[in-house]
Amino acid sequence: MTEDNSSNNELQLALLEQNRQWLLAYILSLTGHYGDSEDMVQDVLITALEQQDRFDQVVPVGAWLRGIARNKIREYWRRNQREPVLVSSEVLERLEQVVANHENQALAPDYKKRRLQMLRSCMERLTERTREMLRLRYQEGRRSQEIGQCLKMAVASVDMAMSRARKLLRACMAERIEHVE
Amino acid sequence: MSNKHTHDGINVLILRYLAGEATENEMDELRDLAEHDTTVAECLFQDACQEVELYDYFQEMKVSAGPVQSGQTAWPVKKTVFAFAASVAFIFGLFALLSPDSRLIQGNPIISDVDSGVMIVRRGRKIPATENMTLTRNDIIEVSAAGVARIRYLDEETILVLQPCASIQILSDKSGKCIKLIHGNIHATVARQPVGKPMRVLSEDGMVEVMGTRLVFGTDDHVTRVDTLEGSVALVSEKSGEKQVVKAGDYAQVDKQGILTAGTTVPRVVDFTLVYADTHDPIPGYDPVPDMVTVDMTSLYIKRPGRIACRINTEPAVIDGVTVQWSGGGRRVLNDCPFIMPLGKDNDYYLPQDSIRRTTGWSRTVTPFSVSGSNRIEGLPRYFHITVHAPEIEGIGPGELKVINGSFESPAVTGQDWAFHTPIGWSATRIPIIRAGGQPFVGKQSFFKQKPLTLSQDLWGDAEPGRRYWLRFAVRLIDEKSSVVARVFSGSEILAVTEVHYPDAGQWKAFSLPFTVPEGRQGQGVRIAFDLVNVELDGVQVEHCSLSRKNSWSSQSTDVGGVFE
Repeated sequence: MTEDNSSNNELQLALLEQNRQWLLAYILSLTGHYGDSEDMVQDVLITALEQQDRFDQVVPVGAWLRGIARNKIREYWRRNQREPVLVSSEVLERLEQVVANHENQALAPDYKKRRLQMLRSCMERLTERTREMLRLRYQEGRRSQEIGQCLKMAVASVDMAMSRARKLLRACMAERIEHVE
Repeated sequence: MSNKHTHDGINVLILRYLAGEATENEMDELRDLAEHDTTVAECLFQDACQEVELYDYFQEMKVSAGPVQSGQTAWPVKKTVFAFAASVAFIFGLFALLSPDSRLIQGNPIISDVDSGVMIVRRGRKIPATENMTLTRNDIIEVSAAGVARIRYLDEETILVLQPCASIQILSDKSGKCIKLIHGNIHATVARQPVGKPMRVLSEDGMVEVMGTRLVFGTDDHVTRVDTLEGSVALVSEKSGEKQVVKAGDYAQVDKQGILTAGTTVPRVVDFTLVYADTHDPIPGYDPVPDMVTVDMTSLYIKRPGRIACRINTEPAVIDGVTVQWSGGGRRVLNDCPFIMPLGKDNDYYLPQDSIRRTTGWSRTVTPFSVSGSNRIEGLPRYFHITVHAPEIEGIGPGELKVINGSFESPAVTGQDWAFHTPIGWSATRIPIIRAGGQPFVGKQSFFKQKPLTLSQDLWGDAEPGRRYWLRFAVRLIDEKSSVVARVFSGSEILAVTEVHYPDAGQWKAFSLPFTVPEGRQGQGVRIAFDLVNVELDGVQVEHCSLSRKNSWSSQSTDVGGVFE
């Protein structure tokens, strides 16, 4: 491996580590497809690396990455010949504000580690069946229908239970954050 | 937040969108919501963040055997990092290929055909089996009650078909192919094996060595049995070391005490199991179905619309086929095990759509057979009769009942009152649907059930594509377990869905669910459905929809009218 490649990798890893989560969430909220969004995050980071000499230091890194991501997402929708869910400039602007706020928080040291720790303890509040449902979705990548088949539930019930579990986790994590603060 | 939807309804919509499961209509719905309420975009992003965290969390759990270091991501980086990872993987792959265990495996068994519900236990972790997955030594393959898995050795035409509930472990080594049957039955077609390296099939009690043949090997808590379909094999008792040669058409078995017995295999039908036609899962209480049973349909809870079928259980568990003959003279040969016998006169898996009144029955004669070389060995025919009984539904009054996609409907209902379809197993009710402009929230009905009760009804008429309609209803949740999901379908497509869940249980609340009939669906009608748990539901109406019967009631027809204005 050459020195250039090595430093590129380090830069890419640093970019990835700091920005992956929020960038993935940003792209996911605009595409609604996790696998495609993961691919796109990688493409965004690779493009960012390729264009790093064009990077304007005045612009925050997050905004720069989002700019690259937006182009990729436009291309994605064009390629898929479908209409995105978030369309109007007003809505997109609101999303940009929310993401910009979030990415600042996400840059805090140990952010991901702390969140994962909180998530781990909040998982204890769920029933075993609900945890299994989440595991089937997020570990095994199963669709609601398959989860329903596994757990003998209707698809609508799976979606509902999943939604409630996520709501409970959100509330639990918010509670913990408040407690820490 | 939009007042058209509940928070939970939007959450479910967003959840489905982020999971890539949203239909076009749900996408439209979400788009519509986002356009009118910018906080939806915020929710969407926050939910996406949670989605990413959950994926990360569970992926970290998954790799906990080789845990991800703190601050290190489990997520691969493309291209350059991939290249590095690929190099490492290649090197490890080479080591793996040359490792003693792998090197000694004769051939590479792969999962060539698999149902959902088949799991692989590998190094203590369970993973779902997928097609073309390569199996390695010590892998355990577990098949669910409704599944079947096919394992193929790549270098030859040896095929193992694992029957429902079977569980095997791959134990191949330098002496040849080897599997251990932990439980259940397998149907093995074994290609000719290298001299001195027979394939071995083991169980707790016995072992067979196979050079090239077709056989059925099964084990349960009592015996291990081999039925030879082609060639011959030897069954060896694990306990006594005694050996029994089993020729084509014969069987041998060894029990827990190590005692060997043998005889000629004549296939027989042991019993029948009522199963869900879509999943082949046994229906509790009907595994097996007693002879001449009357199945009280109200005792079943069939979530999928009325699709039941019957599984023929044979001994040996895997045979070449069964011939099914019914009273009308028709016959069908079933060759794929498990043998799922269709019910219904159209020879499909559906219950007949037009014939069940109070009691309806079907008769079948089933003859099992095995083919050994050019000989066909037939077992004794077995008669099977099933009666479906549809009792009068309380609240509907007298009237002929029938099963339509698993729901009862009564032609005795008159006027503007609509009897909702109810799934089998729940007492029915009638809920008045109010004409457009009528007073909502009358005709309160309570559903104090702890299991979901689905009510559904078809609306027929010329719906105008692109026009927005509203399903309106009121509910009172009884306690924290209460829930309501309202859905509107066009065919099988969900046009709209909302979940009702609010903290102040005990209060009545009104909800409305907008939906738009898709292009090309005019005249096809829609179906509205509620999933209810422990709630009271009140006046249900569809706005912009005048409800009138399409046809007058007849004894058999079930079209419930309703013409969109």
